[in-house]
Amino acid sequence: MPTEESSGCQQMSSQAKGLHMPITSETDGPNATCVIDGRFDAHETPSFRSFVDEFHASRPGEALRLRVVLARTTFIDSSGLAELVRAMKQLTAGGGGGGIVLVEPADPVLVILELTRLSTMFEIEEAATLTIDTE
Amino acid sequence: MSESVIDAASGPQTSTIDDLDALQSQVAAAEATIGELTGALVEANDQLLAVYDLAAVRLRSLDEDEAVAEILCLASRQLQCDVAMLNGVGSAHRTGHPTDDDAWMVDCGRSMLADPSRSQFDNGRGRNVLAVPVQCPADGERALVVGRTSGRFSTSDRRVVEAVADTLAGVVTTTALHERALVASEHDTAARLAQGALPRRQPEMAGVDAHAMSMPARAAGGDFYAHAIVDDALHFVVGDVSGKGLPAAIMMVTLVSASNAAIRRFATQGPSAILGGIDSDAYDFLSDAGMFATMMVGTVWPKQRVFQFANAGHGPLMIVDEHTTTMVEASVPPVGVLPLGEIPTTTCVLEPYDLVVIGSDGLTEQVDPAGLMLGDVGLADMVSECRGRAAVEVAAKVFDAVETFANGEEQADDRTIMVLQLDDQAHA
Repeated sequence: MPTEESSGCQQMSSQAKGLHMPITSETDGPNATCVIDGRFDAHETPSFRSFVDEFHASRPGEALRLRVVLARTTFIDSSGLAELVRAMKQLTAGGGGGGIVLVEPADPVLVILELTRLSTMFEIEEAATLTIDTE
Repeated sequence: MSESVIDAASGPQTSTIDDLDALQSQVAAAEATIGELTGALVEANDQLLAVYDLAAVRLRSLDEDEAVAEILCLASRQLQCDVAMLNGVGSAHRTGHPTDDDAWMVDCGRSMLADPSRSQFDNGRGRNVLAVPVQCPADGERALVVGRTSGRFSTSDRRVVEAVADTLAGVVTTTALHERALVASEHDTAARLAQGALPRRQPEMAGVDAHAMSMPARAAGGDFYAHAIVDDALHFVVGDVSGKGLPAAIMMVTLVSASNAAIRRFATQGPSAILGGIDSDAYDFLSDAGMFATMMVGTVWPKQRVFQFANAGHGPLMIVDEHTTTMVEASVPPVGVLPLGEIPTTTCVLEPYDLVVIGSDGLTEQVDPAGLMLGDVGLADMVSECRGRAAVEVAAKVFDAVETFANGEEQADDRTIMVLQLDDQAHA
C-alpha cells in the first residue's frame, strides 16, 4: 500500500441530490412492488427495466410476482406499455404462478390498456369502488 | 547598517572593512531575494504559458486519446515528471517510459479517489506522486497521477496539476458528448431513411378516395402504412411500433415488408387473414426485441360499398357518417404481445362520403403548452367537421389542426393518418 500524506483538499461528492424519482420499488423475497408515479414513457423505462431484470435474476428458478402500482401514473406511451409486456413475458416464462399484476391503474392508463386490448393480457387489480349510503 | 565608530587603537580601516562586509552581506541577501522573486515570476510565467498551452489543446482536438496524450506530455514537461497517467474505469492513458513504480502509482490514484483528502504519496525510495481527481460527468471519476524522483511537489505544482485535471475533465467530457451527438445524429438519419419504406404513391382506385400521410417526430417513432389493390379491393395496413428511434424504425421497415407480403398472400381471405399473416411473420422478431406493434388492417370493396377491418390494438379509428362520429375499439391486442390466435373481422357498409379515419397516437397524445393532451375526443371533433371534403384535404386539415393545438409544443411522436371514403363512382 502506498504511504500517504494529507493535502487537506476538499472532499468532492458525486452523489446527485434532489432528483425526482418517479419509479420506486421494493422487494420481499419472491414478491416485489414497483410504484410508477407521473409519466411512464421512454425516459422512465430504463430504470423500470433495470429493476425487473435485477429482480428476475435475483432468484433463478423461482416463481416471481411483481405488483406494478399505477394509481398515480398520469400517462403511459407505447414504450411504457412495451416494458410492461416485456416484464409480463419475463416473469411468466418460468410458469409456476409467476407474473405481473397491474394495481389500480389510473384512468389514463386504464383507457390505453382497454383501447389497445392489452387489458385482456394483464391481471389487473382495480381500485375498490366506494359506495356511500345516503340513508 | 552598523554605526561607524573611529577607534584610536584599531584605526579607521578596520571599521571600514566591517562596514563593507556588512554591506556585502546585505547585497548578497538582496540578490538572493531578487533571485527568488525572479524564480517565482518565471515559475508564474511558465505556469501561465502552460495554462495557455492546455487551453490550446482543449480547443484543438476532438480526439480524446490524442488530446489527453498531449495534455499529459505538457504536464510532465511543466512539472519535470517522468510519468503522468490518467486512470479511470475501463480506460488508461500514460506518458513516459514504464517504471517499476507504475502499479504503485495506479494504487495511489485509487487511494486518492477513495479519500480525496490524501493526494501526495511517497514510496520511500525517492519516488514522489501527486494525484488529483478528474471529474468527468459523462463517464465517472478518474485519477490524474503525476510522478517524479526529483523532489516533493510544491503548492504551486499542485495548482498546475489541478489546472491540468480541469482541462482533462473538459476534454473527456467534450469528446464524449461529441461522440454521443454523432451517434444520435446517425440514429436520426437512419430513422429518417426508414421513412423511405413507406409507399410513395397514394392508393388510386375507382370509387375510392384515399390518402395517407406521415410526419416523423425528431426522435422518430415507428408509424407505418402499406396499401395495395388486389382484385377489386383496396387493402391497407396502418400501424405503430412501440418505442422510438432506430429500433422502432428498423422494426417499422420489417413490418412494411411483412404487410406487403401478407396482402399479396392473403388478400382474397380478408383483413383477419392478412393480420394473421403479419403476426406469423413478425411475432418472433417483435417478441424477441421486447417490442410490439399496433396495427389496423382494412379492406374496401367499392363496388359492394363494404369495408372490413381487423384491429390489433391500434387507435384511433373513427368512422364519420352523416349523423355521428363513431370511435372503433380494437378487437385483439397488438402484434408481438402473444400470438393472436383467432382474429375477429368487423364489417361495415359505407355510404358515399362516409369518412374512415385511422390515426396514430402521435396525433391524440399531442400536448398543448399547458400540457393538455388532444385526446381521442379532440381528434374526433376535428374530423367530424370534415365529411364531404376530399381525403387529402381531411388529412391536411387534421395535421394543421394538431399543429395549431400544439401551439409551439414539440411533436413528441410520429403523426400518421389515413383517410378514405367512397365517392359517387362507388355503387352497391
